[in-house]
Amino acid sequence: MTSSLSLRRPTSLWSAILAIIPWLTAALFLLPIIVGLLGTWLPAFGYFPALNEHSLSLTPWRQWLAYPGVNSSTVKTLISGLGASFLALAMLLLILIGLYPSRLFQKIEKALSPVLSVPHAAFAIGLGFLIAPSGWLLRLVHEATGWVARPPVWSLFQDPYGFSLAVTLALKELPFLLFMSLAVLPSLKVHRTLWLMRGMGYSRRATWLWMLWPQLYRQIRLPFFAVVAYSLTVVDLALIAGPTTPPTLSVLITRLFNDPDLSLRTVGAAGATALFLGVLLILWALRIVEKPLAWWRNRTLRRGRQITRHTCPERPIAILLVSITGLLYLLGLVVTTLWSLTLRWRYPDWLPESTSLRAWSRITGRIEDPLWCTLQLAGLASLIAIVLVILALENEVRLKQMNRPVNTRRVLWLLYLPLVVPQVAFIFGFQVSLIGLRWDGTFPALLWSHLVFVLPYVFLTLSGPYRRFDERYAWVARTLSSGPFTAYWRVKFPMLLRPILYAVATGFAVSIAQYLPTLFVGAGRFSTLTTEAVAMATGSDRRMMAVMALWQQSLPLVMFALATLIPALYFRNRREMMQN
Amino acid sequence: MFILDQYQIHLQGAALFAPLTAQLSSRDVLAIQGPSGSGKSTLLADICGVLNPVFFSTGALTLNDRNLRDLSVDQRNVGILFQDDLLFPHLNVYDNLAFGLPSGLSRDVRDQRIHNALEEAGLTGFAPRDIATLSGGQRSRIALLRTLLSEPDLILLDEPFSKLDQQLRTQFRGWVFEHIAEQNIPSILVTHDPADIPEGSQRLTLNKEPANA
Repeated sequence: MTSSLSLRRPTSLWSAILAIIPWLTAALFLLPIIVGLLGTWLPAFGYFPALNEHSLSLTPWRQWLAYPGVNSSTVKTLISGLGASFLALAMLLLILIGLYPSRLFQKIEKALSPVLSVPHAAFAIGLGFLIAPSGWLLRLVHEATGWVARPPVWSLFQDPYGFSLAVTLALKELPFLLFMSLAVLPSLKVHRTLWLMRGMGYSRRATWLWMLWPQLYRQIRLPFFAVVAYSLTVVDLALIAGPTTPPTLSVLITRLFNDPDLSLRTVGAAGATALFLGVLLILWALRIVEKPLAWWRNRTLRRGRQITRHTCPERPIAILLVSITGLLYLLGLVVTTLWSLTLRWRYPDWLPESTSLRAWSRITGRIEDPLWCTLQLAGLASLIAIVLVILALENEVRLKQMNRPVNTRRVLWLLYLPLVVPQVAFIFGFQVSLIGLRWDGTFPALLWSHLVFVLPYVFLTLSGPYRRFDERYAWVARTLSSGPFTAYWRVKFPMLLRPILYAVATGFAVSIAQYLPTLFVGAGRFSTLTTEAVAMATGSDRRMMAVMALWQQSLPLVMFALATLIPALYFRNRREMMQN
Repeated sequence: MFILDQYQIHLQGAALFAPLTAQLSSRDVLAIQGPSGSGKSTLLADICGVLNPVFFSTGALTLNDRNLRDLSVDQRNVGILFQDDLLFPHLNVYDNLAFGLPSGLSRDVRDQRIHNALEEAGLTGFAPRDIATLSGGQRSRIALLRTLLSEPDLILLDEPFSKLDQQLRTQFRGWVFEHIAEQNIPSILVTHDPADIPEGSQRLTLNKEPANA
């Protein structure tokens, strides 16, 4: 009996390493959040040793509540944040009712990753060029009809209530929600359900609303919560597309944190904590309201078939919606490119009067440092993330072989934590803690702050395909080859090359899009394409703004193109590797 | 020579089946039958060296006088063939076959061995082909060639015929055992279908052990 226990395992050191990886990974992205939250809460209650404040008090809270514009800011935040979330959710539902499953939907699926890779700031800048009072859309209208010879005095962009921010955010979050739904949709067996329900007299809309949507929502709840939290607390996008006097809460708080008057730090901390609590409250309410809704749904369903109309206006509406969204992304890119090449462009001309490459050449000298910094950050962060994530997933394989399968639901909750906890709620506290350790404004600390967001996204992107891998391939490879590493490197890795590169590209894009971490943890010593683009967007030089936005937009696009092209070239003669 | 003696697999203190004893010389075939869940695949996993650590096995398990438990997967020289061919989709036929060849062969020797193997299988000229372009029967044959080229001392067959259609099945079955016999090695076949078992095979059935044992 003991002989089998002496079973020699040449890789026991390796499995020990693997066993540590998930903890290391989790610590890497959870530690900054926990430390950061505490580091924000303490100053919010007056304890701020950096400013010699050692006594707990409610003064920061009182100051926050009395701060000019907080009430109006709160209303704008709710309008833009909740508006964006529900708008995105409604658009998702409409598109699914109208178009899933269909040929067109498959095309949308294919177009999704370039759209997803567009950084928020670049998208908002493009949209601004389009719908600002003197924007391209009105110029096109003028060109076609002769109307609006003068730019209107009212503005659809940066409106004082935050409507335009809501729409901008919704348009940016819709592709994300669509993407997260893609993983769930096959398991809903939509086609067969629609077929079956139609036989019972339910229309497409009724089947979606009553049967399919509740199931789908349950499975994309976490991504949706991330969207809600993000929309309520976004900073870079709100700076570009949001209202100004006063701005949304997160922008207001960021200003307090960066105010020359250091005493406002504690007020900002109170505001950040209040915003955090508000977000938690809203998410909790969203979770709670599901129960009465489900009860109401069941009661209605029990009363039997209601809706028998088979016409589906959702289809044309969905097509319109998808076209408009796609067109806005495309036109935004086109008009940004036009502006980057513009020398003179007067209203109401629809094309620039004279063009030049001056803005592109003028930006040299200003772009090298941010570009280099962005590339280093994004490259290193996605590389570190992919290595850790692959090792963590290999550890799952190991645990499964030991019959101790990982509780993937719990892992999922942990991964979504950095996406649900608002950045403004902890990034200040993290920065303060780094100052205490004298790590602030160093490159490794900045890299770490990016990893907080890069790691979960890389994990979320890779875990699905990685877990679906048929381990028997690895088994066969090991019986045929000279060692476990050769077997992995020559079989499992190349077979998973496509999703691995895709995950790297995702990590890259996530790092590039980061604004607050660079602003706070970089402590002004580092600037990236994103911080520069946002800084320019609030300035007045449209040409430079356009050039910076294009740079910011092109890097992730190039990465996604590479992630598609490399496997396509490498496996061009391997048909089975070309699917998916 | 492959030996099982009083061999059992245990899970949480309970044996999966009554003790097995068998001795296989070269060319012997051991056919193992048993209801699903009786531990057939677990047995193959243990012989291969990829047994899930929650199980453990007792009794002798030796191949050519070496205790298999002392050896890692890649040192055991045990080949396996599944019901799915599990050819690597990112490699062409040549590279799939070369994957199993011992390392350190010169390019000429490699080419020669692969060429011979393909020729014998009636697949001359298939070396540069993408495996996705092959028929099911061709894929199965390549899969066996790949295993045989790795020069195993024992070959395990995990229902290797169950996914083939009836006509192909009879053909392929004969071909497989012919080739294994040519290599002068023993083989173990796990199957549901008695028709798969070649004449003159040793047979074992995995039975649940009586509860009081």
